[in-house]
Amino acid sequence: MEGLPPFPLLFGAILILAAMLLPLTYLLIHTSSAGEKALSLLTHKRTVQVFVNSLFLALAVTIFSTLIAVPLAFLTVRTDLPARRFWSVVTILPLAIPSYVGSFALISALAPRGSIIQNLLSPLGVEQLPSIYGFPGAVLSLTLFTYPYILLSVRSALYGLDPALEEVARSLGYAPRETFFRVVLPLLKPSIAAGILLVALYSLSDFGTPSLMRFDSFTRVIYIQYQSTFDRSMAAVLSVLLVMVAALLVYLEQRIRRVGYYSTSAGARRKPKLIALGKWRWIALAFCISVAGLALILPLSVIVYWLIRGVMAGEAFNSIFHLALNSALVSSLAALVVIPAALIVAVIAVRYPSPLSKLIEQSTYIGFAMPGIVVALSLVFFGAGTPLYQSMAMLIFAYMVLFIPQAVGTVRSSLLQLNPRMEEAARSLGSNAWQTLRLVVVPLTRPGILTGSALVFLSTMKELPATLLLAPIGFSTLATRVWSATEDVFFAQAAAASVLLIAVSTLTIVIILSQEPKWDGE
Amino acid sequence: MYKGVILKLENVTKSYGNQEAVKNISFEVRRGEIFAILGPSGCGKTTTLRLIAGFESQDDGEIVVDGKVVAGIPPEDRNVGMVFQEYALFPHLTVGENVAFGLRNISNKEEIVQKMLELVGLKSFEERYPHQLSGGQQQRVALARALAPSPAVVLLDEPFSNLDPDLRARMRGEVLNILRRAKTTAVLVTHDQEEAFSMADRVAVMNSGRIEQIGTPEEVYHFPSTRFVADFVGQADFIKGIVEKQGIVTELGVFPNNTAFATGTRVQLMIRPDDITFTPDEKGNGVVEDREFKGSENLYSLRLDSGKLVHSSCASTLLVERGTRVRVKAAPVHIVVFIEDR
Repeated sequence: MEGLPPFPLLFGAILILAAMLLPLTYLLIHTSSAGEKALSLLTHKRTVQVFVNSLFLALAVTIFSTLIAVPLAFLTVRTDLPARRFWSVVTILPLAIPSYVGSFALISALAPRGSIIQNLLSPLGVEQLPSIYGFPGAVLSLTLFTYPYILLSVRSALYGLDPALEEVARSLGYAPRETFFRVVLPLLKPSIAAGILLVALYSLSDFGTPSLMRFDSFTRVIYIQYQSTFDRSMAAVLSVLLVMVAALLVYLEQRIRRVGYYSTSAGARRKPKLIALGKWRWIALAFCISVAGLALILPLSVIVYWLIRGVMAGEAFNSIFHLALNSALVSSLAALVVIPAALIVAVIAVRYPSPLSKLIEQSTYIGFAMPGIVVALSLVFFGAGTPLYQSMAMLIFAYMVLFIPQAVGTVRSSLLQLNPRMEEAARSLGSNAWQTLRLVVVPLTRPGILTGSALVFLSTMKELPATLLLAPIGFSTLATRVWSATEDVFFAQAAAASVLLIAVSTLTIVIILSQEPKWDGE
Repeated sequence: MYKGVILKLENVTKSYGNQEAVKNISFEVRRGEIFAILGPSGCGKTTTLRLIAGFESQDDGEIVVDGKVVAGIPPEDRNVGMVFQEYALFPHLTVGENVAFGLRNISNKEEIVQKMLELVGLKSFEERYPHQLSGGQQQRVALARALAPSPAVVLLDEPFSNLDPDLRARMRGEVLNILRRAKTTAVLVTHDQEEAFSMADRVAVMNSGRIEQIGTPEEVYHFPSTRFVADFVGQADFIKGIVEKQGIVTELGVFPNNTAFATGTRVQLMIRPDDITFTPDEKGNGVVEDREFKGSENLYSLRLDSGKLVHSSCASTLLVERGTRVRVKAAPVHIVVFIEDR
């Protein structure tokens, strides 16, 4: 469509742009006011160490996640893996386990002394297990609970792959395995990169895992700095570094995506023949079982173990359902605010391309690049002393900044599939721009809106640092309860909150999976 | 198998579940020949092609490519090239890399790529990516890619269905030219009889899994062996007749009987629009019901007094008003007769 977007749309978009720029402004104010000191902090030994730590963490998690997710995606979409449909759901489910819950479970099971496994092994004379704390534990935990991001992205790319491409390779003399490496894998590159971006950003900005695993990455150090001193310079410098690394990653991923090939086929999706695994099927099955065992069964068992111990000891869990309601409330509010905002951004970006709309769309990536703790700190900075401070509105605002890119992504891809002729038809039949949006665009982008809402809901449920810093006094959610109960060693209370958190998250993931593309007749 | 046959199908059958897609078909294609499989969608023609390529395996029967029975041989070892309906160019490779894809174990790879690009007239496009090409160019790349490893047979699945009509006609000529110059054997699948006729040396007409007729385009058009073929390969009218001593008697006159049907047999006589002429005549035997202007000709619909509708193609300059009474005459060059059903 030509011309300027309707005024309400444009106005909304500019408000969103301002919102996205707010945390960035905070960082700029802070670092520039620190002046000389910021520069010396930048080259400080501690800063360099934290920087290197975080980079290695992100790198290791990314590599291991890819090694888990890409084979899983291929196995669950293209092979005759036994119980393929079952595994395709189960291998996504670790997404429902917040990384701090997962880390707590891993520590509880595998910690050097007093953990479940060590207790089990002590009759055999095992006094101490190798330490899980630090780098190995952080990598293990983040890998197990973030690989589904790559899995989801690669799987949907596999469903979209034209089977004729592989058949051509076969007819040109390539065996199935060679076809995979020469044709399929290169074509999956953009989707692998998209998944890797999410995993890398998650690893860089995750707060729960490094804290529990006592690994000095950016977020843990920023939080400790914030809590222990009033001088925020160090926190600000680290935040700037973190945001720069994240921005670089986002930029690199965009480059890979823009290398510029498009899907060439729009034909009917034929279901390709499933590849017979033969004797490899047992190895494949063992692989699926070990991943599910570590990422799903182990944490769930640990949580249930603590829960049962708590129940046996007669602990009361009466406030848990109230917390669940609180979690559901803020998550729904976040989705309700984010989705219209994402719709505005997506419509402006897709239908009214201009330098301004491009800027608006790209500004939402700030949410990707900005860890929850930094967004929260910036809101504390701007909001302190105003009635907005520690209000619900401010919390929801933080969620919007953090999670809008996820929703923009899904809504935009739905919108791209919508033929603009459809909207033009509505206009020619007498609907104005606004009515067209309401009557045509929104109903037809429903899958993207639904997936986007589910993703925002899920992320808000699991979100920890912003909720810890910004929640109104006395307002707790399942996430903050898991956190505080773990810190105070009330493991049964943490387990009870975790169970509810995982249950609600699982429901949300089922909604996301139901929108996944499938072959005809599946 | 006699000399010169490079592809042979014998009693090939393929079912999906309880649905028979290909029923007991047999044909031979000679070296250098361009062979078309013509039929409506869902007739099993694409399945036949996929069986030859090895993407599907037949339930019964035998397929022989270049003297080798190919049962159980995977597609990569069949020496059969394929051009897909949507071209299936690798979007992550350049034009040159696409064409070179099937040449990995060949020493003079670069030379062949150059030769192929020259053959399809895309020499200056070697560094481009598929999405930077037009539909017609993409198709020529797909063809060059399939021809590069000099396969025994090239299979083309509805190769022109993705192109605009005017481009389609031009590409037909170009592709034919390329295939002839490469001296390759090709099997082409299409639902468009014009495409099959203008490109193929021989045509097999398929209908619901069976081959109804194999012959040159002229044979298939003028001497269709079934009513389905007669109808599918061009506009045809069928008028009732009865075999008498003096010939086949119909409402449009008596025609010589070249069949072995006994006297008294009820038959249907096939008439093509170019066999029918008419002149305005108040005492005629029909009325002009409609005229469809087709540029180079006019296609008239004529309602005979019996109620039967027949068609006549006339010069585009001959204009006769709707409703004019006319005398309709039939002068078929070839008499084609089918026994009347029921």
